Amino acid sequence: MTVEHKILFTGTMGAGKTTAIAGVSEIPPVSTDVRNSDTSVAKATTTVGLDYGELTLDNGEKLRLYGTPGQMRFDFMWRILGRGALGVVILVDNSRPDPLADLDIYLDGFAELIAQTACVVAVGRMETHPSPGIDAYARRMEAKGVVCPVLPANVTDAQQVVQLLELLLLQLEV
Amino acid sequence: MTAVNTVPKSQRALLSYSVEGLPHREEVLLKSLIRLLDHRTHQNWSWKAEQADLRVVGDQVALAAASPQPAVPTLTVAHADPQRGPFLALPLHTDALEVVLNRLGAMVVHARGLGLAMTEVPIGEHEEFRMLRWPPAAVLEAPIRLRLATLMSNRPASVLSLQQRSPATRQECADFLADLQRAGLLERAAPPGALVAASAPDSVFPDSRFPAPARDTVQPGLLARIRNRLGLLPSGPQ
Repeated sequence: MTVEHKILFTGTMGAGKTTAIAGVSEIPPVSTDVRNSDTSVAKATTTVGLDYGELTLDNGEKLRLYGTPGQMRFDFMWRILGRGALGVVILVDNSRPDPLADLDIYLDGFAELIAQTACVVAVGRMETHPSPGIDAYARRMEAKGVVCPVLPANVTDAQQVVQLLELLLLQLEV
Repeated sequence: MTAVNTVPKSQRALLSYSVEGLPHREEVLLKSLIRLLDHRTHQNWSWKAEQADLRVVGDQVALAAASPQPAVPTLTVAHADPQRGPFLALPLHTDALEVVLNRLGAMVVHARGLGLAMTEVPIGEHEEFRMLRWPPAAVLEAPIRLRLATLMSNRPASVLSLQQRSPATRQECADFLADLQRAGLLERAAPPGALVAASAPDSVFPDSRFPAPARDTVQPGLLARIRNRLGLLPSGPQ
């Protein structure tokens, strides 16, 4: 039987989940994108189901990369996807109106997974939207009892996605 | 205004300030200005709720203070000078703020050197500490520190355990913990099984009086295989 492992990418619509997975997956990501009807977000399509990518490890096992749907109405899928995951990468878009409130949604939605595994928070678009700063995120996480790496990231750069995954793996070391 | 600070962030002293009795608007403005001045001030300043290196107070707090705490300099921010030590006039101006921060920062650093200021308790090599919050960028300037902070993000660590789990030297680990302590981001780890005294107000954990649940363990060798597949160099013991 093939052993499977998984890592989740979550975050708001447009935060870059699909892009992050595409940067490291060995297969073209499978996405369930549809035409975006949310006029508040400048995107032609958005993911309503999930994104999927994978990596084959040297012993044949698969590391599956799942991008969760961003919208909160799909939070039932977050719990399903979270079962057995190695950890979660939360992508936050700093250009949104209240990115700290966005962070709260995912910290709460994945609370159980974060408590039991590992988490990294990557804040995008800080070069054009520097506020709130990283320390504000750290304090928000502290208020929820979460201490995990939070750093600016541009997920269009695959190397930065790899770095996020490395920070996730570091937390899993015994 | 002084010239742009050319001292690398990692070589600047990490100092903290607390704010008491300022109108909310002035407090928010003060914190924003201190962040904006970070590339100019001689020390790296970060806000701390209490037990900071510098107390910034409004005039009512300054007047109510029966006796100043000698080890902690107090900066009064008000419209009128209460004639009780360092003073900064409202409305706030960045130039004046920069000057006073540099002056008081130098004083704190000097006092530390003389052993007069609130000094941190020495860190034993085996002593375990918990990191309270992800550190500010000034503490993470060196790349190895990003790794050390990550290793501390979900479990307590000592100088020795950090050294064992990372490529950092013992001195690098000790310096990192010392900087965290100066920034007020470190607390001694409770013995196993002990209740955690302080709870996060809005913790994601069901009952934050208790330590976070034990982490799931991963299959032996899995992390190395993932790193290998991602093209990452082997790191630390698995």
